[in-house]
Amino acid sequence: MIRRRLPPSFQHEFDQFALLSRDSVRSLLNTALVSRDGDPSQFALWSVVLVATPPAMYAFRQLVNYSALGFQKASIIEHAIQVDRMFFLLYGMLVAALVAAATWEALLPNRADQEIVGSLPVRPRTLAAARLAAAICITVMASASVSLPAAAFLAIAAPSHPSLGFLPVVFVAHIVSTMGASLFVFLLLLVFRSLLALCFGAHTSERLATLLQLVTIFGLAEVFFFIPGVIPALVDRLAAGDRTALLLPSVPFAALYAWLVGLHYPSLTFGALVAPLLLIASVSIVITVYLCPARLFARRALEAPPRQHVGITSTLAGLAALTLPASPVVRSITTFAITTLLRSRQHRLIVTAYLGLALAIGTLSVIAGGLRGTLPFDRPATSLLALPLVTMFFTTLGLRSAFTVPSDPDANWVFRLSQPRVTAAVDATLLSLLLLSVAPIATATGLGALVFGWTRHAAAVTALLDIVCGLALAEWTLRDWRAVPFTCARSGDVESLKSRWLGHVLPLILFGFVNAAIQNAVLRSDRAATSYAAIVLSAWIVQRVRRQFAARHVSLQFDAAPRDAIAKLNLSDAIG
Amino acid sequence: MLEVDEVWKSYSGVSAVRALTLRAAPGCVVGLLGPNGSGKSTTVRMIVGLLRPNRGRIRWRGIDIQQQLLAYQTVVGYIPEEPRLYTYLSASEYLDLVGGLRGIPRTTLTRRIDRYLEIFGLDTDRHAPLSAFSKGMRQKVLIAAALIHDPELVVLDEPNSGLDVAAALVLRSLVATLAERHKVIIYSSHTLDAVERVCQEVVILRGGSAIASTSVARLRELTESATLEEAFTNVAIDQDVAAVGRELASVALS
Repeated sequence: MIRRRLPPSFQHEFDQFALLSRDSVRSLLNTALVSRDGDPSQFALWSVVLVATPPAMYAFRQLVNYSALGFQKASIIEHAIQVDRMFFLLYGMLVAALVAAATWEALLPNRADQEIVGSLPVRPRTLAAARLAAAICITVMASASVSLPAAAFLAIAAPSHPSLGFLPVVFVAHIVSTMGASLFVFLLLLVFRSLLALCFGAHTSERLATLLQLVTIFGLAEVFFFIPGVIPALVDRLAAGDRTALLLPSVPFAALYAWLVGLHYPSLTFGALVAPLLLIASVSIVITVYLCPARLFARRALEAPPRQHVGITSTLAGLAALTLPASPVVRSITTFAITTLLRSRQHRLIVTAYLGLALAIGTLSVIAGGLRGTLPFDRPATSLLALPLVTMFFTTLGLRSAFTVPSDPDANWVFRLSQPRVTAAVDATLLSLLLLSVAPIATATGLGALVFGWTRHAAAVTALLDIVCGLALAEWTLRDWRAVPFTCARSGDVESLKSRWLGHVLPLILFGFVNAAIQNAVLRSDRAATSYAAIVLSAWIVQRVRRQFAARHVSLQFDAAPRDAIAKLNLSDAIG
Repeated sequence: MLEVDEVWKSYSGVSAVRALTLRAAPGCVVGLLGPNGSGKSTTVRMIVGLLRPNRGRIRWRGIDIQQQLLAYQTVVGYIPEEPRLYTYLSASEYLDLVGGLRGIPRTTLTRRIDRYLEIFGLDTDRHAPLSAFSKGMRQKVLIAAALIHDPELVVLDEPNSGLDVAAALVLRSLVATLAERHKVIIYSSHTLDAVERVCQEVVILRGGSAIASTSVARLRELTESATLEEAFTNVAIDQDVAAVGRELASVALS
């Protein structure tokens, strides 16, 4: 219908736009996909389920709560609902940021896109517009999956109290404001991405994906753990007419939400006007900085020389591996693992996701204790000691998870032909875990402790204990490891995500929190600390001996393990 | 007629092509030869409009291609050196995308796609993603994508890459047939034998400049060579290839 109304000269361009938009959706999904051989539709489905479940559950719980609050005063109900709305807005915004982080690389057409489409009679602006439309479409879908269930639950709860609003209005207001807020954040990040690419080039812009993902995962986790404690104060400021609160991006949309539902604080009217203005402004800026320079982006992508130097960090990491006393095989595999991780954005994103979660959980009690003034930062405390241990736990698991995703299965013939021993491959993987997770975190712990004013002795002993614990953790993580990192074809990742995460909760509590309490106790005496370290080291040695013994009769794994043992049963044979 | 006049191209100050001039008339296959880094691919990418020259002009039927780039690109068919494809698409989806972007009507496009896939023996794999295709199969898809709109100018950059013997012979016959139909053809390749058999004119590049631009027969005559390979070795290769081969074999013994 739109096509028919266009002048004939634009009709063909519209057709091209439609074709490229469809293709861009797949490009974006493929970029977000961590495993090259993964199924984008499965990935999209599970991602939607993963992000949509927490707010839906929260909204359902509030549905029950509001029903019980039917006889409360209007002011109490209004305050409670404002807090909840702010929660949903923040969550939706962080989901949009997560979408941007996961698809960061493909948000602008890259060199490969320009190579494929550049020789065809397609304007650069058409390709850019198609990519923009696809990105917005994905964000809207993600945002809708987060907003719709919550909107439905809150709308159902509305009749239980007059202050909650009118059922259909609540439904519409929730969707309009949360999706508006999500879109605003996404467009803002798109502007940021375009400006970075314009000013500093594509490489710098793409490198920020890892940092952005870390921040968004951290933020998403904090929305649940920490933000609920902060939001009531924010709502109080908003109700009191504090206009500085409007500087927080979620507040104007919260004001819009309240205004749409019919809660007429005079201070909210201004905020409600600001929200649509922000959205319109972000759309205009996106058009200016994303679509207008499309030709320039295309030319730069095609003419940019290939990278002349590999990253300094990965070179240093490789050098670190080379200086370690290990066999040439172990050193080669370690260097390969480290450089692959540092140069592969998709693998880094996996680790970043775990790290973000770790920081959110680890800092929870630290921030809370700090705000209440009950946590002494100048000497060892359980909350402080738990932070590096929790971080180490998640980072090590994240690295192990990243190692299972092949970087290029077609290229693993090098390892298939040379067939290193299983022990060498596992030793190299262990070394990689130590260099990428345990050593940096323990070093940061020691330095951080010194910065906070701990004694040198306490800082050094804490760092050493973390190294010993990290060694045992890494060995435990690799108890069934039989592969060279990044070379084994992957199978059943969705199944492992669904079924195995619960199995990590108890180890996390034991390693992160119980262990921190033990460390806090043993740090009071050198003798106790030595005994503790000796016990942990003994545990590591026992695990290592068991692993080496078990590895004698197995060979390296390069092909995906059968997804399900039941699938191997041949029932027709059995019946026959 | 395609005319490349005194064209220069540099990347970050480093010259890739210097003052290159060539002509390609309808029905004539022009071969681009040269060692790695001689500027062949940059030349080809400028000819198809992917890159813009820093200096000089490329004209199609007397008009600078940069003035009417979109109109020019509707008549160009291009087989790139590297098989750049959206590997998550199937062969038919990819050809559908390319044909759609070129504005070919649906029924015509479907008929052509079916025919290409059938001729290349890819019809049984038409729904498999291109990531599962071998290099040769991807090259066949690229050839189909380059020809699907019946281009007037066909630019082939290493078209034999990954093709088996039969497919390479088919390609040779295809190029000859296209030339008979008065298409303008630019054929860039390292495969000297193929160039000798297919091209009427050759341009030899070294260090971004054309060091020879003449007919294959004239080049052989001028360099007193029996074959194009011999002529190319005399004109474009400085190193003692036999000595380098011996040195390579002895590295692992040191």
